This record gives sequence, C-alpha cells and structure tokens, in this order.
Amino acid sequence: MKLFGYSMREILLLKLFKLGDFLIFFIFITIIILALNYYFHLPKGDYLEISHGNEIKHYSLFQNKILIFDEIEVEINMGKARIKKSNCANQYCIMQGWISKINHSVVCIPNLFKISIKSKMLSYDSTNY
Amino acid sequence: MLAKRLSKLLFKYFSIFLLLLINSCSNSNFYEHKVLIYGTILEFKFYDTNLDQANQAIDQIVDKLNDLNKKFHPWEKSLISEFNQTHQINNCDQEFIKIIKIAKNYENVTHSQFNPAIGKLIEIWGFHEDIIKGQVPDEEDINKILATQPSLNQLLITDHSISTDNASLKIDLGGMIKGLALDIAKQTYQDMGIKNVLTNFGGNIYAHGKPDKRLWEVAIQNPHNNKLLLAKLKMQPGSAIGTSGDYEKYFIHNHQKYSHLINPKNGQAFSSYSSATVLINPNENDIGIKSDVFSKPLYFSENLVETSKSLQLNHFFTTDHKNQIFISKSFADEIIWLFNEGDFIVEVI
Amino acid sequence: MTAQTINIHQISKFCAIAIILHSAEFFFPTPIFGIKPGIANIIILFTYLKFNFKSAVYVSLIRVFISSLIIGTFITPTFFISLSGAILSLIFLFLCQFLSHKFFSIYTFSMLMGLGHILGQFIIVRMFIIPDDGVFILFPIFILFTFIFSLINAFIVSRLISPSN
Repeated sequence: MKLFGYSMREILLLKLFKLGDFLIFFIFITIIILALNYYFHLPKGDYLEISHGNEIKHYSLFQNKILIFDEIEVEINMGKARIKKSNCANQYCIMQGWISKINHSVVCIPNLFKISIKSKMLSYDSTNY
Repeated sequence: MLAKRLSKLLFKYFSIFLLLLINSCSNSNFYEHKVLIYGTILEFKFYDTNLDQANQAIDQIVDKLNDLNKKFHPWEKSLISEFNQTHQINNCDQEFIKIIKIAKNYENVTHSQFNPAIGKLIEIWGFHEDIIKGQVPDEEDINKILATQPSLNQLLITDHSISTDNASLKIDLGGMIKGLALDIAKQTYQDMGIKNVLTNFGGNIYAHGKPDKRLWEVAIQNPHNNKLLLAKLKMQPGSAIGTSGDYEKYFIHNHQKYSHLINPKNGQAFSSYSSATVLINPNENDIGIKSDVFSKPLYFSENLVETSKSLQLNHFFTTDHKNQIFISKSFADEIIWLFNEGDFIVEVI
Repeated sequence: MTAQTINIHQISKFCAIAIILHSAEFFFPTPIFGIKPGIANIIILFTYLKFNFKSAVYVSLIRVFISSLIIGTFITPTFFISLSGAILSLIFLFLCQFLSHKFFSIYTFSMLMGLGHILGQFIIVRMFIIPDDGVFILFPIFILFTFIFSLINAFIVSRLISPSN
C-alpha cells in the first residue's frame, strides 16, 4: 500500500516525517480540536448588532422582521439572522446564510456592512430601575 | 550554544505575543464612584475627567443633596415636616420657595396626576417610615382626604413663608426629589466644565456628554425580576431616563401588592401597570425633574396616548401585570429588548 | 557569470513563478470565502531551501507587491492583509532556522509558515478592517485549512527538492 508514492513502512520509519514534525503536527491538531470545540459550543445570541458605515444599531433577535438599508436587506427570524439581499458583486455575504451564535457575524466588505450576534452579557454603564 | 539559540527563539516568540497583546489591551479613562445618600445610591461614572475635578464635583453635589434632605425630608426633622405639622412656616429661603414653585408648576402641567400635596395619603398607607410595614387604610379616611382636594395651589406662597388652610395638605416631594438631584448634578457639571459623566440617582439616570465615540449605554431592569434586564438603550448626550414601578417600595396584604406610589385621583396604592419608564430628550429644561415626575402620570394613566400627548412625551413605555409592554413608536425604534423570548409581549402604540 | 548574478537570475525566475501562482490563485474559485491553498508559499519555501533566507524574503515581498499590481489590489485592504501575512510568515521561517534540522523537516517549516500567514492576516483584519472580536470566530476554520494546505505544500516541496522516480 502506497501513500503519496511512499510505502507505509517508509512513513513509519520516519523517512517522510521527522520526530519534531510529529510534535508540531500534534500541537496543530490540538489547537484545531480546541478551536473547533469552542466554535461548535458557542451559546446562542440574544440580539443583533448592525454596523453600517459609522453607525451601529441594535435589534432584538426574537422577532420576524426584514430590515432595509440602502443597498442591503437583513432578515431576522426568531433567533437567527442573515443578509437577504445585497448589491455587491460576489454575494459572499448572502452565501454565508443564517447566523445565530454569539459573535458570529456576516460582513459585506464592499458596502462596509456587518451584522453580528451579541449576547446578553453586554456592556452597559448603569442600570435604570 | 543550544541555550543561546533557545533564548533567542523564546525572545522572538515573546515579541510576537506582545504584538498580539498590544492589540487586545484597551484604555480605561473611566472613573466610577458610589455614594449613599439617605438610603439611595448615587452613582457617578466619569469619562476622561480630571480626578480632582471629579471628586470636587461629587463633594459639591453630595453637599447640596444633604442640604436638600434637611429641608424636604417628609417624615424626619426638616422644614417640610415642620410645615406638615403646623401648616405654616416663615423661615424659608429663596431656594426652598423656588423648589415649591417648581413642584406646583409640575402639578399643574400633569393635571394633578403628579401631586406633591398628598403626603397625608402616603402617610396613612404607612410609607412614611424607614422600614415599610404598611397598612391598608379605611376607605373613609382616604375619601376624607380626597374630599379636600389637596393641591399645592392651595398654598399661600410669599417670599419667605408658605401656609395653607387645608389641614389635610401634607407636602411630600418624594416623587420629584430624584429628578431634582439630577438637575442639581447637571448644573454642577455645567458650572465646573465637566463634559462627560453618567449620573445615576436611585435608578434615575442623567447622561451628560458621551464617552469618546460611543454613547452612554443604560440597561433597564426587568420590573418583574430584579435579577434580569428588560432592555438596553443608548442615551443621547443630555438626555435623562426615569422609571416608576411597584417593585421598589411595597408591601403585600391579602395577596395584593401595594406600592409606595399613590394614585392622587382615587387614593389607591395599585395600578394596572407594574412600571412606567420615560426618556426625556436633550435640550428640554428641568430634564431631571421631568424624567422623574412624568413617569407618575403614565403609571396611573387610563389612556396612554392621551396622557403622553398632554405631557408632550415621545419616548415612554409601560409594563403591565400580564407581561405586556406598551411602547411609543419612536422609543420602540431605539430600544433593544433583552428579555427572554416569551417573557413579555411588546405592543407599539 | 559570477555567482552573484546567477543568484539574481534565479531569484527573478522564482519571483516570476511566485507571481504567476499568486495571481492565478486569486482568480481561482474557492468554495469558502477567503480560503486559498497558498501555493505561492511552495516557491518561497523552495527558494529558502535552494538558496537562503534572504532570497526567500526577496521572492515573497516582490511577489506580494507585483501580483497586487497585476490583480489591481495595490494599497487596498486585500494588499495589506496579504503583506502582513507574508511578513509574519517570513518571521516564522526565520525562527525555523534555529530549529534542529535533525528533528524538523520542511513539514514543520511549512506548517509554521502557514500559521504565521494566518496570524498576520488576522492581526491586520482585527486591527484595521473589522475591529471586532467576532473575526476570531473564523479562526478555527482557517487554522484547519492552513494545516491541510501546508502539509500538501510541504509534500510538493519535498518532491521538487528530490524528485523520486
């Protein structure tokens, strides 16, 4: 059995990989596993932050609403949000689809437009009661 | 040789980590301070202000508020409690008269839905005590007081004295004292040239200026659970927010909750709403007092649209006991709700 | 011809290849936005192994500048992202020189260079383009693909250095 032109024996004998490579390899794998674990276990967010040019606006995620900005339409649907329409050339922002977890965001660079999900553990300066 | 290489290597890595750290460290130009004044927390958050200047401003404000307390405390020894006993005082200074006149003005503006002359009603409900035990008074007693139609318009005000013929008239400025404190704070900041500070006096907040590029951000407590937040909003420079609710001072008798807010129209201590919040826009005068006083008419309102129109309020909301929120259109666009899904139903009016 | 001129000729040749690969990569469709195999890195690593670190720096930086002119992204955010990625990648390559060649092969070189590349890009994006911690959400995906592509690149380099029959 051959892999990339090398026999399994050669690979096992460290002809392809040297010892240090395995070290780096496993460090990399660990980082990836930790990062992916973090990525998939993010809690769901509570509200949507939209930054449009220099403006930053906030909307509750728990509603069904379509927000229309100059070039972009954002859809909020009970806990998740997406960019529905955009006039940008590549349409990458639309391809990213729905987002619902904390800190997830969709960016449309040509329009300087960003939507991101934020949590309730937000910062505020004082409490009114 | 190896040690030298290793130390070189570590140094390089360390410099990369430093590069990453520089980016994550942020500034801290804020100075926060809390003071306890007659059982209420007065909270300051200064941005980009000289520390000495900030402390000086705090001292001045605290002095003024203590002075105010000596004059207006409704049941401890003060000028007002003296008046409430004798219905006549002659040793008033100009500031005292000025504040009484402001109170009278706002009583008229709100068509007596905010009434500082019903101190006796508050007293018979048992709220003129440091530790609230509470008692439900007889209907007869309430009606007796209401029959005299207590109002600050019945006061005879001269330059140094106030007096009245109505024996049931007792002045209680508890409904506007927090707002008054905010206005005093505002005046102090303006006099001292302090630009950016957020002042919170017992839940009523006045936003002076703004921190750097963002605005002051304020969270509103959930009226049905003090551990949760209801909403969050950005305060325009110079705006103030105030809430009246049944969750701060209350007692429960026969499963009915009685709050310290007494309806001046019928003398009852409950309302169909559990809280009322108003946001006063910048550039209005008496901004602090308005934020405090105007929430009371809304709290007891039977028709929110009419009440808000008569007070020229654009930004307000009320919550009721059935977890419904009634919010004005322009406020609904600015506020960010933070309650859990299904906890409240929002209705824009 | 002196050794010096041969070196410059070789460097120019490698630069040309790197520019072609870099530019071709730009127009190549990617399934996920922003994820590219970084095939130009093959040439950088190869230059380093064939000549020295200095030549690798030349090839890498010239590649970034010239191909951005060709693609038309010069002095746009894309250019700065790619420049900072290239610089940090070179710093990592420099650090790799201190590693013992007895234990570490080009696979380590390639993986660390790839890591440097995305770190450089993330720093620039976080600091200037999207100043929000939200960008780090993309980090796991990027590091996963960096890992895969850097292994493939290293394999290609290993075949280039000593072609086996």
